[in-house]
Amino acid sequence: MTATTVKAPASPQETAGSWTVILRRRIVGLVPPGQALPDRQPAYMQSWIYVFGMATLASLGVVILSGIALAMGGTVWWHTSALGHYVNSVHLWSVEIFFVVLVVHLWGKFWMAAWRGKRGLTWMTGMFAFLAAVGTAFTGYLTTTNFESQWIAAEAKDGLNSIGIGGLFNPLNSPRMLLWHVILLPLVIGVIVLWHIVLVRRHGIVPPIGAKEPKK
Amino acid sequence: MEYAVSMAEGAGRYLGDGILHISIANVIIILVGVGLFVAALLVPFPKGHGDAKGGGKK
Repeated sequence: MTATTVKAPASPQETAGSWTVILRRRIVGLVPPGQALPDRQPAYMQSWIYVFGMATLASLGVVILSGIALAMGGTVWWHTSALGHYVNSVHLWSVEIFFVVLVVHLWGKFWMAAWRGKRGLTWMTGMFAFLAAVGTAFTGYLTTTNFESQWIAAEAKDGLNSIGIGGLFNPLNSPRMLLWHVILLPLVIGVIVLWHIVLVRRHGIVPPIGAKEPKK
Repeated sequence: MEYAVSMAEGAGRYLGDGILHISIANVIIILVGVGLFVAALLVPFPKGHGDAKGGGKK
């Protein structure tokens, strides 16, 4: 057996210009050390009002998982089988819970002025996630294709036509609305929510008005 | 139009006053949200295990 020599890894100085190093530093620097998954939080977080952000995230997880099951099963499955009916109902009610806890989270953050302490972008990403969720729920209603959804689609079509975007987004086009509901808008929500969570971890939980924020 | 209205009426019970028109189900969901918000502010949060002073990082 012959000994082989292993070349020592390049020193940081030699690879400083590498795009992988630059990207790695950017990713590592997104949140302060230990704050990606912290095990301790400020004392003022011991309030139920701080629970609703995570409740929103948990219900979004159920919405996505049940939605994936519905997409895999298909229309006939969720309309005719008992399990399909059940998953369909789980999807509907997880959306209902998602919006209730989302709105409570929104009210809580609004009344504690959660944009303080350089958290303006955190607030705005939350707002855009909310708007994207409203659009996703709307296209979900259109996907059910029952009388109510047809009524909503026709009314929305008139409204969108009145502002000149009926050609870009036509609620009466069911297949197009289905694709918006199962692909485009969930992707948008996923990206914005991930961005929102990174910003929350980066800047920390907003303190109540008048409370002193711990040193980072 | 009359047929459409009768179909819509069969879909649920609604409250209406002037231009306001809202289903009972939506009123209940809004009231649940308001109730949760008030409860979140008033109900004391349980103390964590092994955290006798009840606080995390001060």
